[in-house]
Amino acid sequence: MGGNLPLHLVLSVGGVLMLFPFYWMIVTSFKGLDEASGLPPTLWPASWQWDNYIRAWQAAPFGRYFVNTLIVAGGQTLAVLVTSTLAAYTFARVGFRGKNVVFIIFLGTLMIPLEVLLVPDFIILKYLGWYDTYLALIVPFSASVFAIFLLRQFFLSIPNELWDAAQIDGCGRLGFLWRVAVPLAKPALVTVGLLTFHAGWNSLLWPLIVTGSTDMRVLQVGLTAFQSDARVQYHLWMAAATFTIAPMLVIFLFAQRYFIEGVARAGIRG
Amino acid sequence: MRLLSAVRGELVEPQRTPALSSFDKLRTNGPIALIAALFVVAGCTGPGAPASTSGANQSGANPVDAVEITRPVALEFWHRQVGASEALQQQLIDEFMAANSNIRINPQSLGNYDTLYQKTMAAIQAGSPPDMVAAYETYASDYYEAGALIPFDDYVRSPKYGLLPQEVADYIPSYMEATHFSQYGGKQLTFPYTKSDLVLFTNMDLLRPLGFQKPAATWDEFLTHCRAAVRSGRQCYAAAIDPSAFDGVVFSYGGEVISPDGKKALFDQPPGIKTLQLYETLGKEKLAYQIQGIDDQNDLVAGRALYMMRSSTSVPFLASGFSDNSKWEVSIIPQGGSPKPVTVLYGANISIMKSTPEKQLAAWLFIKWLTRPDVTARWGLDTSNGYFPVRQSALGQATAATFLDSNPRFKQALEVSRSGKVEPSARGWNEVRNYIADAMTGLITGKMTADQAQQMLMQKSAQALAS
Amino acid sequence: MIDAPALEGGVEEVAAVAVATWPSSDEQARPGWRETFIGYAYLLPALVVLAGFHFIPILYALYISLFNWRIRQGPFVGLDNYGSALTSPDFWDALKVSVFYAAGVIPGTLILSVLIGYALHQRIGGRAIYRLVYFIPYITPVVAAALVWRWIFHAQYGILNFVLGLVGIAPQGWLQEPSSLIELLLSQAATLLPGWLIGPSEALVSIMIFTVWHALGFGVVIVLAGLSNIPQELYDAARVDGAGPWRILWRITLPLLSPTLFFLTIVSTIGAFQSFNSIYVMTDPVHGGPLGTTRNVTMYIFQNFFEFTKLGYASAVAFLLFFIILGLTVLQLRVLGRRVHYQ
Repeated sequence: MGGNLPLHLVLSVGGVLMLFPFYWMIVTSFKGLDEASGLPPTLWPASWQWDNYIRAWQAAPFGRYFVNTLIVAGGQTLAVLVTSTLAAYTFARVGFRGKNVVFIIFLGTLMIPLEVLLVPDFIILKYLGWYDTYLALIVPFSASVFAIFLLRQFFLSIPNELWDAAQIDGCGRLGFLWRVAVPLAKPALVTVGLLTFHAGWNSLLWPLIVTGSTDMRVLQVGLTAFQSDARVQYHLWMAAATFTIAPMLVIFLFAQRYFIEGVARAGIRG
Repeated sequence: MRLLSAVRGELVEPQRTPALSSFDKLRTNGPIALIAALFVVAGCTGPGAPASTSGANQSGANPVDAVEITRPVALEFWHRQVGASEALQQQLIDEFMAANSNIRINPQSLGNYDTLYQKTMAAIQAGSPPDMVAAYETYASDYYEAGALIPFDDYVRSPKYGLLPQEVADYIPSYMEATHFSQYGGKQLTFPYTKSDLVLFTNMDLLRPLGFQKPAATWDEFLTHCRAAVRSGRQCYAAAIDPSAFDGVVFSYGGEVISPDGKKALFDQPPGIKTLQLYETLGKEKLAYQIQGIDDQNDLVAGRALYMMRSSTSVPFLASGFSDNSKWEVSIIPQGGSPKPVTVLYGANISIMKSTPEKQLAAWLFIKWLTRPDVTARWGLDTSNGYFPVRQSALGQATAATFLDSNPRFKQALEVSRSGKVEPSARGWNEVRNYIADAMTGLITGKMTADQAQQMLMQKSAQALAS
Repeated sequence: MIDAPALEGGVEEVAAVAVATWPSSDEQARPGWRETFIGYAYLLPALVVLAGFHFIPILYALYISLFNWRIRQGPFVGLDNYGSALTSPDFWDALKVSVFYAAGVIPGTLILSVLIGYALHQRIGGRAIYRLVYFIPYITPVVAAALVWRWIFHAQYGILNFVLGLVGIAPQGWLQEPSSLIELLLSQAATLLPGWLIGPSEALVSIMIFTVWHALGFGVVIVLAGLSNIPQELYDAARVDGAGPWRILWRITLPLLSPTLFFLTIVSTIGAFQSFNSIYVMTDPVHGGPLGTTRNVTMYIFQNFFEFTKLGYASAVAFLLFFIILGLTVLQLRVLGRRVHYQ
């Protein structure tokens, strides 16, 4: 494959450009302020300031932000898995009256941009008394039409024979769902879980609006507040960015197959 | 940059100090006595705070007196202090709680004033605002309009929980005056808390080699210094896009930014035009450059900029950044022909939100405690923040003298504050500030000429002030 | 485009379903009541959430948009909020920003995705590594990644200006620069150009560069998936006919990839018009970036809702944005849809 050398060259240069921001983030996060903002920039820290991470971590309640984000993204993920497994199973396996209407309603919600929902959902949360609570962050996102349709495709592909066999064994609907369908759909469930968690981890606009106190800030909101904090400097920005990105990156590296397949699956059907 | 809103203030009529001759006599007595005396003088001759003129006993029973805090109450307090200043505030809160076992205060730092305002407005709409908030006057009037804010008048006048007339008079009158809102019948909607002023910061290590020994006192000098700096390959003015600095320049040219009735912006008057032209020159000759966040502070300390204009709240940062005091200066902003030197008086206050009578009373007791002479002296004269005490008698405390003597740059900032003048609080001014910021950006980046900026400002501020 | 609000599983996944196939009605027999009861019982949790927070609220939003709704509900004003939005120069400026942004980001992402996807589809070593490398930005949180780019773009200390300085290009203001590239190149002469021709500000271009970087991985993976659906025999046949790589790309790959590209275009359009996070983080949200040149429609809605507390007006603008996105999607379905080759 010697003829591929130019291809490798182009792809490598592109790859370096893609990864450079990460390199620059990490390198800057270890520099002192003088070196970070000095010219010409250094490609390698002259002296390693490990305590930048401690200073960044202590400059804002990042521990709290992480816990909040875990609760919110984790809560959303669990809820989405439960609600969409049940709904997807129903769409795939249960014949019920009004199915088409419900299906169209579900599809319709996909077309609604978050912008339109901001104001009414905010007011609804007010009446529920959920403003500035975890419920406000989790509940509105505890069902996902995308997840339902993805899982539905999976459940549809389960052969009828399995269903019949399960019935003979005395499995009820839930028994079949739990013992047969869910194990078979595990890759799809992992994909849905990862994508939901990813979206929850990254969300900014919604938490920005439905929470007020510092105690309820999630990581992304905390990070935007952090960058406008009067004392915070660039090397600390980069340290904070690094430890915000790291968990997602680790999850991704371990589960990249599910991520990439999940995204690809979204596209194939177009 | 959002940070900039940390440095903004309010404008009412300038604080008049008619007793200038007696003031001059004091000049020989040392700066501290001078400042203390000045505020006392101002207190005697300035407009009396309304609260002191009407005793509570004139108008029957004060509803506040009937309230008792018999059970523990917890107060949510939203503010913007960070770092050492937040730690000091926490220390004060802890002391207060130790002395008042029934009152718990849960402070939440929202980090900057824009966030604080947005979150508070959102929380009001959501029906769960905090119990106390740090607030600028324009914010307070918005909260009040939204029906979420409790005026201070009953609390201040309460025979049981209030302040004596002589105590009211001890608050620095210009601070106190700004917290009373004529559009709401003179009600007091906020209470002075975090007060500072606009000053010029100079890197003396850059200035001296250019052949100048003192920071620019006039705008002509400022331009001369800047041209010399740029000629020698340096950057001169690290410009934060802070509308208050713009207002300060207009003041320094002897002008006002708004008509007395609050209906018309005055950027088409000679002082306004001169200000726009100054920014145009700074942009065109690349004497100023626009900064992000707190880059101006970094650049000044690192010797990358000669000048910056900011709130005195920057003093602690620079004091820790410069190894010794000969390397930097704090002075009043350059002047352009104002009859007497003038700068902007900044600063936010603290407001009580509507909750239960007990919580509201608890909030008042905390605020009253927080502005006690000894407490405000600790809060206002501290290396952590660069704020000023809100009580005149605070400056007479022995600790105040010690602090100012050992921290000369803080002392300079405090001295400058006697020339401080507050910015407008007219309805719609908050919006005008956005257009001022646009004009500054346009002029410094060379995207606008002074004429274009003036046209834009006049047109947009007319709309904003009319609504 | 991928930095759009994290509603559901991300806009692109969501839209994927919207564009996806209609359900095949596999149960034709009329269902019994027992089945119907079970069906709704299982659907209930999802139905409650979707109805309560997505479906009913949109009707509520419509209601709100007809009132002068500040902090509390005010008087009914009919379509006034829509009228004042459509006559407000600020709304049109915001729309202009959204359009510039979409017009830069969508073709940028699409072209690069196809080129890189096509290259990665060749039988070369290290494909998995390359794919990983190009995909990593997409999974990093937008807020953190935007922070890093803000640092790269920094006018004084940024590495980008330094590198450009090495090749003799003067330092740029990037995220702080309100002038467009055309204005910067032509200086005074540009003032003669009408508004739309001047193009996006350098600040907006900076954000667009960031977005392409961040979204590229998504496009590449989609293109790769699309390419893997093209039967190998077609390539073999073409090669037998003596077609070169470019001819194959042009005559076989691109036409057969067109459903994928079509999907990408629709998804990118929706994402681009809803972009919020990167703009919120990279430029000053209060002033809409330098001279308001990065305030897109989403930021404009956010500002009116959150800063000015004009709930009725913000809802009306949100609906206008909704109609714009809907209109564009329908337009793309009709115009582009006809040119798509399905196998």
